[in-house]
Formats: sequence, structure tokens, C-alpha cells
Amino acid sequence: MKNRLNQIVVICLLAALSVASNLLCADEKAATKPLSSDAVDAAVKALKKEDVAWRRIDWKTCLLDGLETSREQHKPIVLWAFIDRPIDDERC
Amino acid sequence: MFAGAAREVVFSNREVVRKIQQSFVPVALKAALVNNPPGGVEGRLYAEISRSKPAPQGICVANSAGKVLAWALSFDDEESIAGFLDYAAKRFEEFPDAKKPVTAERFMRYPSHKLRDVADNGKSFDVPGRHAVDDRCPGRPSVERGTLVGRVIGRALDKGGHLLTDTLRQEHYMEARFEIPLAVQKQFIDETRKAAGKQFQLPEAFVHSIVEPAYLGQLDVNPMGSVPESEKVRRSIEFLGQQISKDDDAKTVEIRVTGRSDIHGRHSKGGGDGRDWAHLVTLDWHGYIKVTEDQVKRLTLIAEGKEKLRWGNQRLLLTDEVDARHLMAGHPIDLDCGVRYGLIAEPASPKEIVDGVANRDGRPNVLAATPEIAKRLQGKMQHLQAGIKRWQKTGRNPARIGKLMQQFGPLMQQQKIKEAEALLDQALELIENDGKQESKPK
Repeated sequence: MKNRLNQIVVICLLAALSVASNLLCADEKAATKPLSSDAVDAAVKALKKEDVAWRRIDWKTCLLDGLETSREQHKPIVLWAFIDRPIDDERC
Repeated sequence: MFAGAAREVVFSNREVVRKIQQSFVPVALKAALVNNPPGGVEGRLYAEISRSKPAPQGICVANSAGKVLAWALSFDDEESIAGFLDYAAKRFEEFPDAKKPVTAERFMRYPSHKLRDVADNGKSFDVPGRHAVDDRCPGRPSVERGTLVGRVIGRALDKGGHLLTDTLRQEHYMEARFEIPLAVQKQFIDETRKAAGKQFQLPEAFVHSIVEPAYLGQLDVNPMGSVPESEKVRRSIEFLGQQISKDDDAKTVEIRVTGRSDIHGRHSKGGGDGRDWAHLVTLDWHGYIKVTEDQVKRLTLIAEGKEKLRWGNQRLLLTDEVDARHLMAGHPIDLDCGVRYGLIAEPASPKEIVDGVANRDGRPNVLAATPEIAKRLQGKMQHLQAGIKRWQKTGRNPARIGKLMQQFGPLMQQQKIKEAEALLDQALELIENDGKQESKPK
């Protein structure tokens, strides 16, 4: 009797696994279907974070403008001499 | 590495950001301009800053006349960064302009490791408040008309495939600009036409422009082997395209693109500064490109895959110093995870466009843009040279012409073409009058 019960449990488990496997395959098929142009656009935009710590300083890129503001506001200028344009959302 | 570390450690520090926004004027300069100053007043200001620089990249505080008050290349600890700003602000109170000479103080590490001061050279300039209408600021980006300008965003994923929330470190979150020149776009458009609706292989230069910026980490770890002290180990890129739609007017077509890139790069053996890194990026790409008859109008691509990045030599890996102490070396990286990239590109905005090849300092090359002016100037120069030779043969002294023409080079360098041509005309007039003015008794 106990063996019979075990057999039923195993059969049920296999059936459940088969259903789950089919469902997973269906999911995978859905995932590999090419995204539409609009969906790609949305996916790219979702990657960007606006509020990143390194974008909180309002850097100027013109030395003349910086010096003029320094004279007007009586503030020293902080100059960051860098290899490219890390302030323009750039890798550095 | 310095710029990336400075952005992460210095310019993302909450207290430093607050202080700079409140009490300073922040100006970001291209190191290339500091190290090779352009012409004109702004160039002289760049040269003044460059005169005291302790390294090709760095952070400094200057007064309203562009005189450097203090440089710093690293800091004893995080608190010292704000301390450096306070120290420089105090110096500004004493030396706000060029009325009093001021020495540039320099710190390899603030405040404990000071370098030799650089004395004031006594030179000061009348600094204009802004650029003249026809004078393009060298700090502004400039691209050729028709260039496709894009942005790539890269994110590291956690084990569950979700985006990591950290956006401070470039090995977790990166944004970069990329450009695809018109000539490279035209190669792509030609291949699209030749395929006539069938699947085709995207040209190498075009896919290279797309794949090249898609990697996490700082500039130094570009796996394509295209930065100094790096080498390519493996590079396999294949992209296929197929036209899927055409607008009603048949002028715009859309191409669906799929691709795979597998790139492996590392530090070159025998590299000078002891850097030690390796970088593998494998991505599957998918997206769309819209083109007109002669230009790409829009490009959107998404890529997913895996990335493995290791950065740091033995000294860096063993140190327990705070990052602020070794900005030049950055921090060690050991990344092995899933990644996702997104790219969007569109034609350059009008404010970025310069007609002509941009010079190395970012200024438009006016002569390249207007070949007729270049030809005219060249003709006048030849005429002048012939006249000078004629003078020399007849025993006349061309010193006055030489003196007059001394300003020609600097004016051309500043792209002041009208002024330079006027000078040339003056010299030619002297020659053509056969030195009559020269020989007139005064």
C-alpha cells in the first residue's frame, strides 16, 4: 500500500515538473521574441538614472565664463582638469 | 584613472558638493587644453594654469584673474577634501585678483605632502567676460555636420538579473557619449541598399563604433585595446541587419539589427606604471536603425550579456588606505556579473555642429570648412614670398614686412581669418608699391 502511494506521489511530481517545464519553455520563447522598436527605446531609457551623485555640481566648461562669474560673485573658482568630459555624463 | 576616482571620491562627496555649489564657481577643463593651451586670451589663461600644474590632471582653486591659489592631487582622508577647499577659500580672501602677486601652492596629498611652491610670474591679463560672437569656446564639444551623436548607458546586474542600485562606481553604472561620423554611416546605408531587403552584414567600422563604448569601468579598461598601455586578446563582432519597413514617402527605412560581440582586452605586457587588469565583455545585441537616403536618423540598441573585469596591482590590492589618498591609482575592481547596455543616437544638435574639421583643441578649423578662403590665402602668401625674394635680390631690406607678418601666425591660430588676411593685404601692398612707402623719408 505504501509503495503504491509512493508511486502515485512520484507520478504526480513528474507531471508537475513537466507542466512547469512547458511553462518555462513558453516563457523563454516569449523572452527571445524580438522586442518592438518602442520596447527597445523604453528599455534603454529605463537604464538611465538622473539623480546620480556626480551630477549634482553645476560645472561650467568655459574658463572665461567661470572667471566672469568669479568676479561678479566674489567666489574662487574650483578647476577640475580632466582627460575628457566627465561632467557631461561621460566616462572618465 | 584620476578623473574617474576624483568624480567618485571628491565630486560625489555630499559635503564637498554642498561647499562647491555654495562658495565656489566650478569649472571643468579638458586636460588637453591645460597641457597644450590654445591661442588667444583664453589660451594665455590656460597657460597660466598649466605653468604651476604638478601633473597632467588635477584639481585646483584659482582667483578671479585665473591665478592658481592651490593644487591638490590627493587627500589624506575624506575630511581633508573639504579642508582643502576651506584653505583655498582663505587664500582667495587674501588674493582675490591679480593686484597682489600670489604663489601657487601644490599638494601631492593635502595637507601632509606639500610640493615646491610656484612663484607668481607678475603677468596679468585683461580677461573678457565672454567669447566674441565668432569665437567658439574650446570647452564646447564640436562635431562635423551629419555626425551621429549617441549615449550609451551600462548597468551591472545582481545574481537575480536586477540592475544594481549603485550609480557611483563606473564598474556598476556608466554613461558615455559616442559619435559615428557621416562617412561610417554612409557605409552602413550603402550595405542596406545593396542588400535590397535581404539580410546583410553590418560594416566593421559601423559596428566597431557601437560596440567600442559598451564596457563598465574607467577609460583605462577599454577591452578593445585602443587605449595606451592596453592590448586586445580577442575580438569577435558580428552584426546582421534586415530592412523591415519603409515610410510612405520611401525616404526613411527601418532596419532591425541583431548581433553578438565577444571582446577580451588587458594591460599590455611591460606597461609603464604597473597597472594590472583584464576585461572580458560578451554581449547579445538587438535593436533598430532608421536611415534616410544619406544619413542615420536614429539608432536604438539594447545588449545583454556577461562582463568580467579585474583592475589593481599588488600594491593597490593590499592597501587599506582610504580612496582619497590614492586618487591616481583608483580602487581595486573584481567584477564578474551579468550586464545590460542601452544605446540611443541621433544626428548632432545644431549647437554642436561646426562646418569643417575640428582642431585638436575643439575649435572649428575654418580653413578646412572654407577651401576657397584657404586657396585665396595660399595664393596671396605665394605672391608675398615671390615679392620678398624680388626685394632681396635687389638689395632691399624686407624687415618691415617681416615685422608686420609676425602677427599673421597668432591670428591664424586664433582662427581670426579676416584679420590675418587684412595683414597679408597690407604686406602685399607694401610689396606692390615696391617699397615706395618704405623708402619715403619721414
